[in-house]
Amino acid sequence: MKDNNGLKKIVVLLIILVISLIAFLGIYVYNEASYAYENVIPEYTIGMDLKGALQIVFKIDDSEEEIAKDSEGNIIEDYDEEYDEEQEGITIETVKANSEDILTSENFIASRDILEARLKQLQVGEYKIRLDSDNGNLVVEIPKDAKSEVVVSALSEPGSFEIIDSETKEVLLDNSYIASTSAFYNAASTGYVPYLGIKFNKEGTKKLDEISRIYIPSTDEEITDEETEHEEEDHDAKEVTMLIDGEEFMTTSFSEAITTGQLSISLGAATIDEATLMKNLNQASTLAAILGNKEMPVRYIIEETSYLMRDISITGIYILVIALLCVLALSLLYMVIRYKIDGLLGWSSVVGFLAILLLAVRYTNTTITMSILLLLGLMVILDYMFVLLLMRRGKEQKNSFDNMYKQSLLISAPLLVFGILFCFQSTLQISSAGIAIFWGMLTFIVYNIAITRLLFVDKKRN
Amino acid sequence: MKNNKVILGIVGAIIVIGIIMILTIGLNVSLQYRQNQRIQIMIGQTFDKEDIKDMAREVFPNEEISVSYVEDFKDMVSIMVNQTTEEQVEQIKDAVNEKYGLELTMDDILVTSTPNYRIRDMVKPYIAPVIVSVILIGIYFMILYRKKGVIRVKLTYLITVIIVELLFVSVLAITRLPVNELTMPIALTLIIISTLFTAWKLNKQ
Repeated sequence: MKDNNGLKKIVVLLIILVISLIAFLGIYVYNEASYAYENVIPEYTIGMDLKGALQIVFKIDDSEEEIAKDSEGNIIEDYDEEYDEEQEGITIETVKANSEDILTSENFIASRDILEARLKQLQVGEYKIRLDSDNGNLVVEIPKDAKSEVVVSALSEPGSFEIIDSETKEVLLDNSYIASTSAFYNAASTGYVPYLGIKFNKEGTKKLDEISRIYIPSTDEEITDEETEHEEEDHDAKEVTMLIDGEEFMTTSFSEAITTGQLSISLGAATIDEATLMKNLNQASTLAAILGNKEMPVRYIIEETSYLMRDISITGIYILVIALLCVLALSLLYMVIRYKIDGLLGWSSVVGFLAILLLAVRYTNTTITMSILLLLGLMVILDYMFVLLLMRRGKEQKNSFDNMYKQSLLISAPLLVFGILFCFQSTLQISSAGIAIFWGMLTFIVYNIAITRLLFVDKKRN
Repeated sequence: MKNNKVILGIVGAIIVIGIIMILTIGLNVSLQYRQNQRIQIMIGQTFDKEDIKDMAREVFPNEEISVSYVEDFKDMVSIMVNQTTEEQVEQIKDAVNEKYGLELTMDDILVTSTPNYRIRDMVKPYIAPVIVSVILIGIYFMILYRKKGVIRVKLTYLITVIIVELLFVSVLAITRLPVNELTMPIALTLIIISTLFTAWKLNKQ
């Protein structure tokens, strides 16, 4: 019985050792493509607060443009000074990108809020927006990753949206009619098609319904009914033009009436190529973020975009690593001096707990932030205290483990509320804290009953 | 009992002093979160950040400085300072030219102003999830420890959380520790610790 108990503990210790080696050092496999040994354990994803941020400096656009107007006040497009100079009644006006009355603190705040809404729609978990209330300049900080290019393009556009009559240029729909936007893809027979979805508000739905009945393609069918013929003549091949930031995005007509208030615009042809699909989907996401959050009242230009790495010195990292190793060594020393072999077992159990937590962080692709580091530390301290109390009470109580385990669960159960609620937050610092608590609690519950119990319980019963 | 009163008295005094300091001189916000100016220089070769830091310290004595690499190539540097003058930028430029054998002119150096990052923007995302969590956990405590009095249990928890957070902010104000990226994660961790402490205390009773 005693031998079995000893063997069981050796097996458990070996398991802990293997898990710890995998978590702290990794598994290296020879990669024939790169002719080198590579770690197959996923790398840690480091957050903006530890790695650095992409800083985008937005400056108020102070440019001016000269426009020519005819005698009736209409803007003359493609005005040629030499050719048209003899025409009478043409006036040249200088138009500022931002007129003086636009440059108010209310508009600066509104612009900042629009940028924030775009970042939220693009699901950017970490960002900082700084507004200089004196001059309206904005500085946005975002993580530098695969998504950052999409985010920068979504932030740089003013976001004006108009659907106009192609002939008369009458504005039929604009930003004020949009309720929400989305980017999605649908499966077609030849592949996947990415779409930009625009959902209009109640008024916009009504207007879209009307427009989609008027702007219909021309038909070659012979019309016999006189009344219908009259209508067809009126609406023959009427088209609308969609303008985004004043640029023509598409010109089209409606094949059927749209009563749902939802417009799905395909961006690119059907494809099975993942890279092309992602590129088109990114374009759809960018447009969705731009159009779904009102038009920027102030026009900005990007003055500078640079990736600023965190000012963390190598010496600082060494000091931190040495301090952590010292804490681990001191905890081992204390446990071994105080509880001899039991102390060593307990310490091994805590190290195994930390190793599993780190593996969970890697495999769930959780971004490492300040929050996660602090809370992982807290979870390890919690487990350390549990093991310490277990050893302290173990000598006095027969069913010490079960009692201690139940008590610990009762005390730490509220943490699950934090864990679950925080996990669903869009701010990365909070969601990563939630993930740390959730995995910490789950590991605490499973690991201690599966591993720590085997290290302590049998001995007490014997 | 007497010890508890002494501890409560000390905590109360710290909170009062802290609140007075916040209302009068405010919190000490870190350079990264304050309004600052950034001098960006393209060196065009790998360099030691510490060398640039030394140069910056000579030009900006007794000032908080942050030096970081710009982009992954690590051949460009950004020096963050509170406020800079053209003369100071020129001094930095001359020092960099001398050290790395460059011929940079003032046109090669980019100076940008960064507005401050508001503390309320930093705190805002935490408010709703923390309040909802504290309410739910309060209900859990009220159900589990109802024999100790529903109101008493709820108040014990709420007061513990509030006191711990006020104490943290007061310590920041009194010690002039900078408010930076670590502040909110620490505040969150303290809420979790105070929840555990309340649960342990109620369980012990």
